[in-house]
Amino acid sequence: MRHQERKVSMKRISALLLGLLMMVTTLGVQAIAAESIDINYMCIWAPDFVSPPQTARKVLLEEYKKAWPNVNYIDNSVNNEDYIQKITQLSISDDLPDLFMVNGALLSMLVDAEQIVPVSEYYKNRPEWQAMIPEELYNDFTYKGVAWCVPYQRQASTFLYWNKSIFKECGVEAPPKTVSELIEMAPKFLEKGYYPIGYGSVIPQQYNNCVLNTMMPCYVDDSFVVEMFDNRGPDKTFLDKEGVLRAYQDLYAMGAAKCFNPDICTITENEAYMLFAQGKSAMTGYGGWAGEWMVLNCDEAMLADGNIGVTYWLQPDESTRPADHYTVMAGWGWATNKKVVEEGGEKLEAVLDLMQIYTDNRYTQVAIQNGFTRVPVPVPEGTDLSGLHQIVQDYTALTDSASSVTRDTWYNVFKSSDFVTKVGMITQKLILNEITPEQGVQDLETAYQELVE
Amino acid sequence: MNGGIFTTKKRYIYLWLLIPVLFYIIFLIAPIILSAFYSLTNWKGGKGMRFTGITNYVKLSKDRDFLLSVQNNIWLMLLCLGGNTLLGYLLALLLSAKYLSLRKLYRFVLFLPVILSGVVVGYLWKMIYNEVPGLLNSLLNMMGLSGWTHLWLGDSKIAMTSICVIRIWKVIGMHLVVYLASLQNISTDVMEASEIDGATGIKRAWYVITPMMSGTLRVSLLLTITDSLKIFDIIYTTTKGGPANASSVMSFLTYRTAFEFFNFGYANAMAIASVLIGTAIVAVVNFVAHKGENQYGI
Repeated sequence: MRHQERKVSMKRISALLLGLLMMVTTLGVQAIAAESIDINYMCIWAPDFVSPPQTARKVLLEEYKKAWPNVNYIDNSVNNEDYIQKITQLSISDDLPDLFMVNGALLSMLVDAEQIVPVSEYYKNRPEWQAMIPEELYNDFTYKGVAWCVPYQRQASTFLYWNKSIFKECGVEAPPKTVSELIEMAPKFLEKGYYPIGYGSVIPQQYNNCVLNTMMPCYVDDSFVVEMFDNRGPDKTFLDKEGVLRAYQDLYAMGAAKCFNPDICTITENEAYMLFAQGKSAMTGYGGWAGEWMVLNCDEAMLADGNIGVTYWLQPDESTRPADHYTVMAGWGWATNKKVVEEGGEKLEAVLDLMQIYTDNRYTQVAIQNGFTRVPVPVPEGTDLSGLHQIVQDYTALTDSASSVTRDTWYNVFKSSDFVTKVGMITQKLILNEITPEQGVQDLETAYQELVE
Repeated sequence: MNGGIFTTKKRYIYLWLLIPVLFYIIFLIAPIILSAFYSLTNWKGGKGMRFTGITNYVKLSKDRDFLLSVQNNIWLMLLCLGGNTLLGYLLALLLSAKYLSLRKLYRFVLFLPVILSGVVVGYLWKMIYNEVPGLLNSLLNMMGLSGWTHLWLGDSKIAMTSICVIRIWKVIGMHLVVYLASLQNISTDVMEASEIDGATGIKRAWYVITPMMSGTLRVSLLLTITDSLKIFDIIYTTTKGGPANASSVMSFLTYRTAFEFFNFGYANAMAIASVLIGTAIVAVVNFVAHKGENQYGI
């Protein structure tokens, strides 16, 4: 009997102790949880992706983690090709990350859904950060007259990269400056089995970086896209038809002269890089990021002795811009979820700190250490860039010394990527010589009327 | 008493049946109804959404891109019918011939692509078709057939046909297996009797085997049709609908409209239209096939 009573009391004591232990543990966990901050983060590079900006980002993140030891950093990033879809899905389910990248294609959807806030909210208590970022870069993120993202890059949308060995072998001295020069020299490359320009535009919008942003301002008196935007409306003339026609005639002529690889419309940008890296094309034409890809992926022989040259993209024979003209774009910017701003407090500060170190002058310094200069805060004059690869040095010198720069326009003007895709399709058909330039202008007008209506 | 037990049992049966029925309603019926609802709106992914009636469907009937996609789907379906159903059937007849050695090896090789993912197949064939590395064109050049080399995916006139070849290569093995299983089910008595009656070779295949396999052929036919209407993975990995929309199909255009153009209302209208078109084609084919079967008293 006594034995049984003792057994019962032991059970009670054990239960009491267990209960106490559970309470202490719960309280402890709660205390720790109260201090820690979860930041869900998404960018256009999956954690294992290798690129100079990704490396720079990782360096800065380590510094950030030291400053914010209580931040639990959750990286849900996916690579560029899947990123827009992922953010679209998260936007629909109203489950956006705390910090993420946005481009013009996503902007209108996020703003219309009231899921992001104007960029002025970020700069409220950080005027020094705001002062560092050049105004021109907000063009990509301006919608309804308001800027919504902090620019992450400042880069040329299209430059021409050329392989000097191939040029020498084919007896061509310098890269073409105009469309006519390209058409004239194309047979020399084709004769030796090289594509004059290796380009991939399976996604029709890619043409627009080159055609709409960089070439069109050289054909029409004012910026092509801005003109369309300013004049939009069913009763208004929407574009300089003569200028567009001349541009389309040049595209058609380049297609007819086989200036591009024939599978241009079915290969990706990366596959076009491969054509260039494997020495199958004499030139390629992409933005500042292409040079970094080459430094990482071309073999040593190809990169040796400044073998890859960089210059401005082609111009029409009668251009409205000087020869050293290029279009500047940010492309991607940073934004936070509106909920984070509304919640405020320490989490908002933590998110803004992270956003700031990815865009301010510290980012510029780390970028240079990691071999690139496509950063929002310009490289200070007199900075020693000798540690960078020749391609990056040449690229930086060209962007710094250009006498004419057009601001990127198509992202922020044409939120409807349906229209932008249609413009890309017209360009595809012109390069394949499936439609005449006149038909191209007509199709463009039809697409524009559909957009306006 | 017995009735009571029976009622309880019945109640349990209904209760357990309710679970799959609920799953079916939640995951299949409800999304279709929701999709039909969204197709009548101008929803673009944001909070604002307006009921627009049949505007999306009217626009769809005039949309050149959508009509081209329907045309491409039908072209793909016709070629795949020839490839999967006809060629698959002929191969099955050939591989069932007893005199053929290494039959199992051939069956294995032909079935292998079936187990590969569509994305893998797409990238594989892209390497075969493209200029770099350009395996097919290199092979043709090596064989002295340089006149036959083509821009298989880059030429808008043949891009869709090139994709059909990939699709046929991918699924012909499955149809082959179905045919072979059906062939093995034909009684040896029937075959022997037909042989005694003088039906051999092509005659036997046409007058004896084919009618006996009509059910299997119909299944193969319907599988090919539905499969051709659903195609997405190969288009996405090879051409992304290009060049200049030449290889765009309904599923790909729907995806692009939703996830690239963020026009969800219109994309839902496309999805509903695709389902209706698919259902109509399957119904007609099924009706014709049934009629054929009844006519021959099979």
